[in-house]
Amino acid sequence: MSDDERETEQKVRVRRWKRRLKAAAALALAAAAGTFLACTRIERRRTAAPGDRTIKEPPSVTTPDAGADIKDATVDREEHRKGMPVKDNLLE
Amino acid sequence: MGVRVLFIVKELEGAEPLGALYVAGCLEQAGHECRFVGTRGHDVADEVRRFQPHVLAYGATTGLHKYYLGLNAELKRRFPRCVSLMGGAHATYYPEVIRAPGLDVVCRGEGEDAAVELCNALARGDDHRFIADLWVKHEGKVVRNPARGLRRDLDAMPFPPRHLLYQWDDALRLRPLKSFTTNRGCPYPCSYCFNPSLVDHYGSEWKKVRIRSPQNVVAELLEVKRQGPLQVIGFRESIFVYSTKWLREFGELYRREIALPYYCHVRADMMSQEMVDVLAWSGCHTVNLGIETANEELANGVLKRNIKMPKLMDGVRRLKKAGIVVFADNILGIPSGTLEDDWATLRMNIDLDVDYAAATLCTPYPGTGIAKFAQDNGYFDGDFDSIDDSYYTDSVIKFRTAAEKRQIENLHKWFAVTAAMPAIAPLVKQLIKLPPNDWFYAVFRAWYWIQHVTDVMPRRPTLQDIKQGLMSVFGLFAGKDPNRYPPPAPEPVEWVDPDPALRPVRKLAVAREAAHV
Repeated sequence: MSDDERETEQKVRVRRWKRRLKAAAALALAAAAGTFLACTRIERRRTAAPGDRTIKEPPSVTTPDAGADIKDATVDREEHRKGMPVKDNLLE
Repeated sequence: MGVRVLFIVKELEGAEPLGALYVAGCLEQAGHECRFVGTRGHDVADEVRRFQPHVLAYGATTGLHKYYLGLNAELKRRFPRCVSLMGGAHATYYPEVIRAPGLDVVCRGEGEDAAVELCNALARGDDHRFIADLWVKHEGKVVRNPARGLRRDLDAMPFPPRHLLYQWDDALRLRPLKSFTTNRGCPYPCSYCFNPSLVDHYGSEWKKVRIRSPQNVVAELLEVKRQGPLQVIGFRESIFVYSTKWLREFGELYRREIALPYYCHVRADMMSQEMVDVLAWSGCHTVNLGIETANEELANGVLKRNIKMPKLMDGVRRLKKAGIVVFADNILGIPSGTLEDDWATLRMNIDLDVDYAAATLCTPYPGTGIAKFAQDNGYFDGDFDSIDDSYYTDSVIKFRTAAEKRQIENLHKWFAVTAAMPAIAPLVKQLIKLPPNDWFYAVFRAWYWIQHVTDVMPRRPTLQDIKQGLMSVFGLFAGKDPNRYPPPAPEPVEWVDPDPALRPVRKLAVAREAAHV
């Protein structure tokens, strides 16, 4: 095996172990996110009047999406379930 | 004097809409004025009022078409003199979508020449009903024009005018990843892909891949590099490379002039050692390839891939050994497949040590062989409007039991992270029996985000990128989309197949200047 091949093999091995660690981090992040989303769902049910159905809000114009500030953001479950979290994902 | 064309794109902040951009480039070259508008956080009607387009243009995949049809119906109600044009995958494979009220023209196929011919006719006030590749609705009749020939010389086409995106939002120019294509066409008959349907439309000409010269590709890369920052280049054609000779010539130019990591799509069984070596040498950082399923019978019988599993696995191993990041596509919930097949596919991804095991839920898009198979064998009821605009949510395929369907849909959310961390597989086997929930979607998104920005398409994220990625994992998005309207029910039309010898040349009552206010 040449030096280059040895170096590549080492790189691939390190990448594999990093992948495991990152996956663990992803699961921790997902646990937090999933809990947050579940709580917003519970909160919404608690504040809705009894017998009310979920009525879609009428569209409203908001300020443009430049900046994406947390204070301007709302939970969009539909987007969360559909879209990709990497907006410039080129593989789609 | 030309016409004004407004391209309306949902999620313009996503990957560049290259198909629409190529059309816009040809329109600009022909003297028409084009503009792009994104939908999130902006009322498209305001832009129509400002720009006063003659043509509203949409490029829709199946599922997304419903959004555009709803929006278009509303825009046509307010601005009835605009001509609405839908192109893209859904219009190509399901041109019957023209029955939607408010939709005037659908374009099948590549679109550049048909769009130019349409806009030229509108500019002159000529009859625009008899243009190849277009189905045109007028007074309740739809003229179904045949396909035109394919452009063979891709080098002669203008580069996609990305400045139109940057005019809308300069942040798009600052994105570190930008995408390109180097060829069109595909010789393979995979039933889940749109390519065989384009063979139905264009004939076998579609299978003869048209390839840009390396010089032409690198010239475009240099132009884009001059316009803004660039860290990773993405090539988005079906299969990036067919010829090692072309790749070597491209690689020499690319290494000298660009020298950035790139990703591309390949077919694993085409990956000879020589081709892998040249890919790695030329700067390929990541490949996207299809494993799709571990079941060779499904792969060839249902998916029609014409592939041998040992050759596929050899190709993946060669790429991994060369240090190239492997992003593997997999399809879960294949009609006549089972949950056990999907677990076997996951095991194959683990054994091959892929860097990201992507999965989609099998979606029977109209015009595809898989849709026909699913319908003919009772796995799908043929209601294309039930298809979501995302293949990451749930499946429209019928399975043996409701429990199996739920487990396949849930496995889909856990697939990629389980391939990265195989130790959790026994736990996942139990978790997927639960009802679908936000936590599973969060798992899917969190791993997708982390692995994309680190291994698959590595870039130096800004604080803004990190904030946006985190927010999306938590389901937080800024800016509502005020353009959601219910899609209208289709209306009856009369189909007209024109006799080319009898096409009239007369002027219709189409105003050259549209009064919108």
